[in-house]
Amino acid sequence: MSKDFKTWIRSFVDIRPGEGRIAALLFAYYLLVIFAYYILKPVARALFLDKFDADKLPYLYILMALLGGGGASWIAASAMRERLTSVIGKSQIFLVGNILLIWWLLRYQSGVVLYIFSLWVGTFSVITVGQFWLLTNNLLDARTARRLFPLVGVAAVIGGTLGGTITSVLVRYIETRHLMLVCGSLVALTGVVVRVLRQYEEPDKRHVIEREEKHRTRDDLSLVWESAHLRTISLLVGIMFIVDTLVDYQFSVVAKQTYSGPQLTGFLARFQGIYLNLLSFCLQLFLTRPVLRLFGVGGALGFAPAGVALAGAALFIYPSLWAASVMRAVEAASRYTFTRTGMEMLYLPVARAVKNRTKVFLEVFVDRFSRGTAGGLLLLCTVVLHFNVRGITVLTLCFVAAWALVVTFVLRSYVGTLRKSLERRELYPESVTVQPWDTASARLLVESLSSPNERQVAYALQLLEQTPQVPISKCLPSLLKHSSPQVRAATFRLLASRRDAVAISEAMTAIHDPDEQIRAKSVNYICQCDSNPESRLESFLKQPDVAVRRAALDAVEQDSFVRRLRVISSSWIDDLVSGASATRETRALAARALTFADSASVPVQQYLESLIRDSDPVVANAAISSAGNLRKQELIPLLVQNLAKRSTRAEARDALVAFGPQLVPELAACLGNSAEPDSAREQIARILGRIGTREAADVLVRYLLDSSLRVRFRILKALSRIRRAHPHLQLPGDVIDQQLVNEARHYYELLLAIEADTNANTAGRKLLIRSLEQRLDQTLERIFHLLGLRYPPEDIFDAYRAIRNPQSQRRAAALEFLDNTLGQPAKRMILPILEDSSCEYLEPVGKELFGLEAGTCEDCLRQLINGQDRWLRVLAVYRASELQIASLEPFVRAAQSDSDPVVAETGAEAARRMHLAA
Amino acid sequence: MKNDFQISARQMSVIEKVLLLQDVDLFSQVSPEQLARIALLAEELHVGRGKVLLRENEISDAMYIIASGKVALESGSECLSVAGEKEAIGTWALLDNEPMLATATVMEDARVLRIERDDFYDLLSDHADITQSMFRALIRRIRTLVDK
Repeated sequence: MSKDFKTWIRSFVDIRPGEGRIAALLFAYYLLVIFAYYILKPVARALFLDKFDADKLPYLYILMALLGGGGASWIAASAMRERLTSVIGKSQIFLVGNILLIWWLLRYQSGVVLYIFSLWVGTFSVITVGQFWLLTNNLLDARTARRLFPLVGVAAVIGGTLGGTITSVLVRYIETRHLMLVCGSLVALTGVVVRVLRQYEEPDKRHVIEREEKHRTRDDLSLVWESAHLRTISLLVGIMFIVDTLVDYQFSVVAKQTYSGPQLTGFLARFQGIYLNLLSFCLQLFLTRPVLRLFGVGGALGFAPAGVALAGAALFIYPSLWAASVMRAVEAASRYTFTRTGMEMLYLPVARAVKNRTKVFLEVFVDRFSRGTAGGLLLLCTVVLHFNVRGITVLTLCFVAAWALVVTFVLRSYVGTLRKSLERRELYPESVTVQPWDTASARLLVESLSSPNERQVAYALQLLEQTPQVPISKCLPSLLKHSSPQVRAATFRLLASRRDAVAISEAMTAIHDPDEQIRAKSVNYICQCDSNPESRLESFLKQPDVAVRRAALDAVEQDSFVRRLRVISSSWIDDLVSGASATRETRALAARALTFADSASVPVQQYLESLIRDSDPVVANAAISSAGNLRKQELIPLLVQNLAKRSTRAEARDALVAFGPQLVPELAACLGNSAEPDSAREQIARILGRIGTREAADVLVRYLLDSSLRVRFRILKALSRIRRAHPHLQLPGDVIDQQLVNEARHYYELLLAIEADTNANTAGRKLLIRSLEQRLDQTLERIFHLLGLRYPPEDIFDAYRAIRNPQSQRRAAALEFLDNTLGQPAKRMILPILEDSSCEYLEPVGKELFGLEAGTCEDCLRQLINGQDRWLRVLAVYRASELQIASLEPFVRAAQSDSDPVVAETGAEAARRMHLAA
Repeated sequence: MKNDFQISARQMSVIEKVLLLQDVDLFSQVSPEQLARIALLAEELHVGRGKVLLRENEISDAMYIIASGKVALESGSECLSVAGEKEAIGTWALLDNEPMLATATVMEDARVLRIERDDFYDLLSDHADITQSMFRALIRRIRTLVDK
């Protein structure tokens, strides 16, 4: 195979070593799914048209709009509970059962069964195609999936062609309904493929759905309504689906007039499976990119209405199957190719989250509404007005004219929105899956390079990295001399991504630039343009200038280079660490470089141990970061020690998180070790929260009851984090319930303490009451964290926010929600706190629940002085001296010798005051 | 500049410092417990009459809270105001590196709390809740200014 041909093939599908088998299995899976679907689709439509006249089709469209497309959410929900391959296996058995049942029922030629069958085919495609994509996303990372995407397109074409061919051939020899059995066999075969794919699935992996907020259709509608651009897109999609339904109707009517029985099935199978599929494939492969490049978004979006208008005119003049087929083929094929590509470009100025919500709105609401509307229109035109095919064609042409008009509107709004978005730096190229960009968008990007706003120029340069076909050579001289370092760095970055060697001499000067980003990007650019980037990089690392070495290391960290560099030898490190010109900067550089040293020839661990212990936090942090990158097990104890140091805590935490779930047993031992300082245990709880596995959650729950207030709060926050990420994770209810009781009791105790001190409002009292009220707030927060571990976390968090906002009108709704959600014991303890914070109301509740009695001020202060809360002890000692309570003097004196210096200092001061007063 | 001042023989207790700090505008949203942490950083100094705490156009690395005494704030030869007990001077020095807009000179022997910027940032790095409380106070102040 010639190199050019290989390159051409690779531009469509890039299968890397080791991916062949899984790619082949996924290819076979999708092929079988589409194969089966293209048997079912013509069979369902042919049986329907055979039984009924075409005038019943509008009813089917309306029913499809009302009931069609269910099943996707069921798959996603099931896949979160068990392994995805198991869910798919079970649903395949279910689908085969359905197929057999429908095959058996079809022998009775009942009209109801034919309606149900037609609706069921829609659900079949949603379930099987949806499952395929879920499994692909589960088995492959996003980048690999994207590379293999064209392969899936080929599988669809082959599957569709096979479906059409087999159906059109077999229908001559067997009864149409028996094709269902072929389809059932294919679904069973997909089961075998999925079974083989199971080996690539991680055993404990559940399908994780990208977290999306719950949105109601009304919210989505207002989202679309508020943006002129999204409104026009919705209108365009609406008209497009109406035309699609009208064209499908005309095609079905003419097909029914021409064929019947097996001939109709054969024709529909050949048309949908073979001709339409191949036409779409060829258009996508050979025409979509050139049309987009030459005519822009307008050309891509205008192709379909122009094609349908021409074919519609032909159908009007000469109503025939040939004209109807051309119209249907042009309409459907251009929708799958040109229109889809053009629509993707329209989302360029739309954030991904908004795009996703808009797409859901279009699929769920606009699609169904339009098809239902088209069904209603057809009923009106055929049943009431008695239109024939020509009449419906005129109606279709009217909608096509409206479609073309909306395309011009949408183009105008697109260019306007794109320009504004560029100015605001709010383009979202990651949400656009088509390449290349159209000419108008690319021209706007190049124009932005002359903007006086340097951030906009840098932003445009960043976007241009994704559009390699747009030339920028004319702007280069001014960009490389731009006053902004950010722009100059972005220019080198862009040139590096294109491997365009036009500015090598400028880059050689820029490696000594004062700006470190420019130095790093120019080094990377020079390396990327070299025939051997790694060796060129090593030459920079050997340079005596430390700034150049640092730039080279920045380039290694930020850009794509091999992860082991031979040049980083022991002598190289020694020179930086203990050479004549060693400084904190050189030691830090050595620490960072150890990430890329070859541990077979360099004693990386020893160097890291020594550098982590460096007295300079910059050096220690660089070494800690390298330890995290290398995941050196032996360094874990040293990293844990650094959790207690303020200057290295954050880096040590990140480094330990990098070790991942394997670290959980070690962290569990540290969390359970009471000799570890609380500051370190708090950090360990945070790390476990970030690791976020079931085992990490178990460890956190294990130490929930036995920890100090500070650590307990961190544990709860970590557990809440895990639970928000995995809402279906079940945690030990008894431990959480027990802690809930403890916290609720603590809340009532604090309330009684506040009410007990009714003496003069001195400075000490104000401080004490303010601190107790703060403790109430903190306790309530912990209570809600605990509730979030037992009940849906997002709902509990919403309720907490509503309750914390005194002006919130949602407070009553939140109380109502909690009343209906919480179990009886939790409800009895917590609802009274939320409903009424007055002591008159809560005192009897506290007595009933926990046997708590309101005590005197003296009792309360005594309890606080003897309690665990260090700050409340300080304040209680101070307050006792303020009130001169003689009975508390022994406790105040005892506080003088407390191990806590602040308690001891306050105790001494309080004792002095009490003594003076005496 | 700190070396020109005397460290008090009897230092204020943590609680006394907290009581003083709670009246500082920047700390108005900080809880007593958090104020106690700041109090541990605050050094009590005795400054004699005529001494200069902050100098106009120079960068300061600390803020001062006056426990007793009076301090004049002057720009050039003009007296802008006189700060007294429980008032803070050089608050913004804690948050930025800009030169002072006025000179602060002690008019009557004063007892002040001095909080150094580096110590303060160290504390903030460990206690995000203090940062949050200070942000709340700053935002409240900005809102008041905007409303005016």
